[in-house]
Amino acid sequence: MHAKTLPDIAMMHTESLITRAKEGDQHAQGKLVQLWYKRIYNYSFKFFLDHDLAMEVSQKTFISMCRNIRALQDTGRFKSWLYTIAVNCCREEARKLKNTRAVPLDAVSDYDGENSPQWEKSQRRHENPERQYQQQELADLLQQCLMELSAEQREVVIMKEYEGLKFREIAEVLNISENTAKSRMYYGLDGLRRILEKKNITNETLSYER
Amino acid sequence: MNAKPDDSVLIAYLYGELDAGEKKRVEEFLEANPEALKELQLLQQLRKHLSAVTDKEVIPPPIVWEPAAQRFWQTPYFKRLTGIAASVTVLLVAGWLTGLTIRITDGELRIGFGQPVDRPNSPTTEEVQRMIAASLQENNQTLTSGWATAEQRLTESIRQSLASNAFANRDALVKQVARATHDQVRDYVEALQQENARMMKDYLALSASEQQQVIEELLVDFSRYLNQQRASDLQVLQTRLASIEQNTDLFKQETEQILTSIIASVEGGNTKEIRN
Repeated sequence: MHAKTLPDIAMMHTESLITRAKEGDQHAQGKLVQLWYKRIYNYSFKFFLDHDLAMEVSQKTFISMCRNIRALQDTGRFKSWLYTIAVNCCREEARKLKNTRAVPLDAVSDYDGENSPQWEKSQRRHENPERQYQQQELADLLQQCLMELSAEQREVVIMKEYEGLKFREIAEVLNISENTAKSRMYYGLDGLRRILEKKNITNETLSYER
Repeated sequence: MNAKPDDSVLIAYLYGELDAGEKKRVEEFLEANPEALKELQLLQQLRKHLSAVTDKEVIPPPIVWEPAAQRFWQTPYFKRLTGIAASVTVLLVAGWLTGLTIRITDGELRIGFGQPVDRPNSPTTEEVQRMIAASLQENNQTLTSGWATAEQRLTESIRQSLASNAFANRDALVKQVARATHDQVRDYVEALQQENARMMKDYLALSASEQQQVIEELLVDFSRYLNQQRASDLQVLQTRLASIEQNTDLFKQETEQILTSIIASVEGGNTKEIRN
């Protein structure tokens, strides 16, 4: 919902900001960070399911953006360029994680319910608490399923489903063909379906939970 | 029956990224293949579930720029330093152009322009005192010599004047007085009297003749004035008379007219009466 429109709206506002940022205007660069931080953070968060890592990746992404924005040729390609940086940062962090922290990601994300930061930050807290709880549980569940996908598929699924990028843009970000992006998406979705099935979560139960 | 489209085409269809032709083709295929449709519907449902995962709100933290990003020549410290250096060079150049020299010798600071000038050492107090004493002495000498000459001159002149007044003048006067006799005095007085008398006579004679002349002129003038007066009076009389004559003539005419008018009226009255 947000993912489909927000980046586009942001894009409209950023056209002039990008040109100014390219000229070295630090104020414009700061504005760009403000506009795009939420998107990059949410991408990273879904990729790692970890707040700290997501923050680190976001920071690195934007530092890199400010440092290299002069080299950006086409301002229209800013979005895919920024996601390229984010994807690379995520991959780098994932590599580091593999080398140092050999902790299963399931063990890391042990919070749920009222312990979850999502619970604290949720804007719909005032709604039916039970429904809210179920919704949150479903979201957590889905995110954990997402983590079980391969990194390649996860990247595409997040970019497509939550960041609202076109397949053309995803192909540009990942430097792959459009068809490859599409088939990765297909296998990603199919894989998610299978993971849910494996966890005995059918469409019926999901619908019930919803 | 259409051949089964590629997975990539199906997924593009799922996300609505197909052009109209392709979309139609996929729809036709799905109509013919309920299994494929069901599979796609499952994916569609999964997408719906995935939307349960919402964005997390996050506040962008301030991005920490690396210190290396700020170059040394952009720091305020460097700017201040260059400012000072620039002003120092300006001063140095200005000093060089004006030939400014600053020297410190024997605890003495000298600031000057151009070549340094060697000056004699300043006189000591003793020398100054000596010089003052010498000048005073000289001054005293000239004053005293001046006074002496003036005094001498004064005494000389006094002596001279005293000598001339006291003796020479008195002697000459006495001699002249002694020489003048009574006769001479008398002759002198007589001569004076005679001269006075002659002068008086001449004066009287002269004045008498002048008076006569003046009176004569006066008389002549007066007679001439009288003649003129008379002539003008006569003229006035003549004109008056002429005017009177004219007036009388006018009067005569008027009376004649009046008379004639009276006569005419009287005659007219008579004729009227006759008619009546």
